Amino acid sequence: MAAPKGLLRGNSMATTSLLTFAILGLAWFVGFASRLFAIVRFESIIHEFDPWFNYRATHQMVATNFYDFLNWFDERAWYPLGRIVGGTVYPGLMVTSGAIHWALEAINFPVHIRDICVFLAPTFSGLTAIATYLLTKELWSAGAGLFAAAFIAISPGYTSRSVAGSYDNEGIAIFALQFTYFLWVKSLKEGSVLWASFCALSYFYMVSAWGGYVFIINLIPLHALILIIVGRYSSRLYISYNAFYILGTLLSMQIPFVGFQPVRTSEHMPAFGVFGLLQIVGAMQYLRTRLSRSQFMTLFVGGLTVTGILGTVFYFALVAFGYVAPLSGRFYSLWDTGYAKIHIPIIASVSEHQPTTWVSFFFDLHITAAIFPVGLWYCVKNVNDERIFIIIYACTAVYFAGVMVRLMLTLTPVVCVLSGIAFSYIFEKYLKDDPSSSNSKDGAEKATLYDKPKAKKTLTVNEPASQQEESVGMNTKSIVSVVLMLLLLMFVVHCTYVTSNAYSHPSVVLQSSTQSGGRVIMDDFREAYHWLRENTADDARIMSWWDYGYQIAGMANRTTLVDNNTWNNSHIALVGKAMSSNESAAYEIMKELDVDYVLIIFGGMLGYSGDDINKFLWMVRIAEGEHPKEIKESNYFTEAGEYSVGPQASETMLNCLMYKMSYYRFGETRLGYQQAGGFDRTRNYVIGKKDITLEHIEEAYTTENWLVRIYRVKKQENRPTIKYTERQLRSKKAPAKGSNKKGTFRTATKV
Amino acid sequence: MSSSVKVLQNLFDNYQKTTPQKLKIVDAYMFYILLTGIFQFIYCVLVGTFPFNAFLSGFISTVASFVLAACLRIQVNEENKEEMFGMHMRSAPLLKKALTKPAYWRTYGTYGATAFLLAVYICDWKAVGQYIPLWNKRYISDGLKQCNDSFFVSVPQPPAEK
Repeated sequence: MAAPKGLLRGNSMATTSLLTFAILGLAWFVGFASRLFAIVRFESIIHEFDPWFNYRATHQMVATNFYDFLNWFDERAWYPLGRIVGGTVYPGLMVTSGAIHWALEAINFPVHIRDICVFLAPTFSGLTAIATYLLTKELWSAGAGLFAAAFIAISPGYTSRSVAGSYDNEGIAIFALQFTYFLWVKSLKEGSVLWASFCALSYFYMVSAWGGYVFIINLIPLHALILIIVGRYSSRLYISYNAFYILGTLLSMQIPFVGFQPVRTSEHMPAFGVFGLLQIVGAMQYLRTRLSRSQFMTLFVGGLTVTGILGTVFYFALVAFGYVAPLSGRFYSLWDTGYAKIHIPIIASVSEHQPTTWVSFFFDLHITAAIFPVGLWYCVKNVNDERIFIIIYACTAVYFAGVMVRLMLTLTPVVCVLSGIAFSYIFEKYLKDDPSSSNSKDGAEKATLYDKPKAKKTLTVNEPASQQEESVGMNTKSIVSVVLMLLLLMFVVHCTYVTSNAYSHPSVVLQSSTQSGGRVIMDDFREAYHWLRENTADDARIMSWWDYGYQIAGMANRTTLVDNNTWNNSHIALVGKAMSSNESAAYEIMKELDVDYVLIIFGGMLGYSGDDINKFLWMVRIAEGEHPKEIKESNYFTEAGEYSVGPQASETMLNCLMYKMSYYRFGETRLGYQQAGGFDRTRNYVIGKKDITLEHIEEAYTTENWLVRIYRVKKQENRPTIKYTERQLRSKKAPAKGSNKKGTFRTATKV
Repeated sequence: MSSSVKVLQNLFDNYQKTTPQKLKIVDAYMFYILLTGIFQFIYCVLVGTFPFNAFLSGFISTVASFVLAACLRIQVNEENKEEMFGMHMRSAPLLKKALTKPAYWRTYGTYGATAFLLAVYICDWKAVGQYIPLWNKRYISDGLKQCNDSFFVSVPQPPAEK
């Protein structure tokens, strides 16, 4: 590139670096800023459900120390059972926040740990942009890298899981993912053990951060396998894969949660298999130069078939004898999509695990969803070792994103990379002023005569002018460039709109607008949790559905029975059974579990559709899975087979604990003067049973908009007295009468 | 069967003739590592996996050493020069220069000493830190540390037990 004249003349490398730094810095700033909508509108608060647990764990770590956190046994969750937090959590997120907190404290710049947790994800989004730039630079060029960095800074697929306040694993995991992939591509290109070791270290960070590390440890072996099959084996591949696999496996087993899984479960077996295969292929490459062709072939064919058969037999034997666990339910349901609904209803019930609709693809990716196949095509046409990697990544990511909405997150980075490549390629061709453009204009004019039969003679003249890549006229070039620029502008507008309206809801606070456009804030959740915090005993046990467990533990600081970790299906089924049974049966269960308070979410007064009555069928299904004799889902439907809480609802439905708790005193509310009482605004009809009496529980608190309702479990009543004549067993002695009564003085004492 | 034996014999002779001394040393090392790995595996099969961590760490360490030595061998091998794109080894010039040229000693020495002191600070390494003049004040018992009076400073106290 010729040195530009004028202000920045002379050093073109200086201009390139300046532009790179400026663009990456702006991408970081824009990414950070566009994630702050919720903070600006409400306050700096942790959102959703899962982040509350992460915050509580981080707080615990900062208040005590790292080893106390690793060995923490939480007796305030999963009430009678407790939870071993140290061994069931990915510590990367907490350690990152803790490290930043420690570093800031060390320079006497105190920041509260909550603020660090809230702003961690936007900060790491900038780092993700930089990692994406590095990855795309290795794959294609620096220009493509800058495009990709800009795309991923604001792409809604990534923003959805990393807004300020969303303190969840994905915030740092996507950065670790991109950085690991960059280091892998770099080490493959260089064939260096140093880069492969850095890759292993970055993989270690990824393992500590997110359960999705399984994607990395399967994608990289798949890449190595495809390279071998396609005939691109080289000693660089041998060196980088081996160093990465060995060091990465050793490091990944340091995380307590991962433990022995890399040698025990089927998800990690492909990596091991490819490792063995690489040794064989490496040995054969070594032998190839030393033996004649026939000798080599006998050794090759014989050895390979024997080892191949042995390997597969060995693997299946290990699985059969239980040494190696088969694919776990979570990952098996990605292949067999109907599996979870039948066997593991908990996985099927999470809304994030549903299949993706095409609307989500457009909503989360906008134009990049349409443009990334172009980048993919260019990678296929100009293929080399690292572009095979991105091709495989794109194909697998597209499949997984189609299976589960939550995995749109893993699709977004590769879509940004490939769109960056596509845009860079097009702009490189179209923004440059070609000296051969005058020739191409003639070529273009002649090309228009192609269709007419007379112009057959001019065909031969056309051939040299229009080669494999047709040179296009200056006008076409400018029009295309301008149109693409407009597309990019619309992308930015769309991303900002989506982030602002769809993904910036704290979900702890609800908002709606009045007729005149003013904003109404409904803070019922925090109101209820604060009531719990102030008005209940410190060791009170709260029963609720598992969605709210983390929030109750975090904000109300009370012991919960089940929470979002969902590690114990039977315990959740017990709670579900209690919610679906009639009051007396439920009281038995609540006594067994030592429950003091019950908390439910009720949206009928507001029209809030995420309440417990809408989730109730899942409670029934999960309970039915464990107690099929007592709970049957069909009992809760009307005669026509639909799910209703109106007058046609079945008796079981109208008498179950959930119904009673939701609609207690609701029949007395009216929307207007002439309206019927008890009109449920979420379901849009009047409820079936309006006069509800509670026998074993009493209402403790209902929030302002009836969103959260808390009930106190009453102590058992005194045993009823039975008249002597109705007793089954009578005592031998005569009943006490008058002065014969025991316990009274026969002689009156005189004072 | 006999043909494969002949093939292996051929192979071995070829190996003896064509491999340079450097690579033979690495190969001997790799063979030794392989033996240790096999012994550990046989032990595990016979005696059981009880401290599974111990078996895993030992076995994977041998595999790791073997594999990393293989990587080194590939990089040093003359036959692979075209593929290596510049990774082809040349033994570390940094280390060689540091050890042989006296002009470099002062700079490298300062870097090394600073890195060492930084490590002592970060890890709070008491075994070494207690001998560093001003730094060892942190190990003196708390009562003395709080006090700013001059007539206590000169009395040395043994480092506080933890």
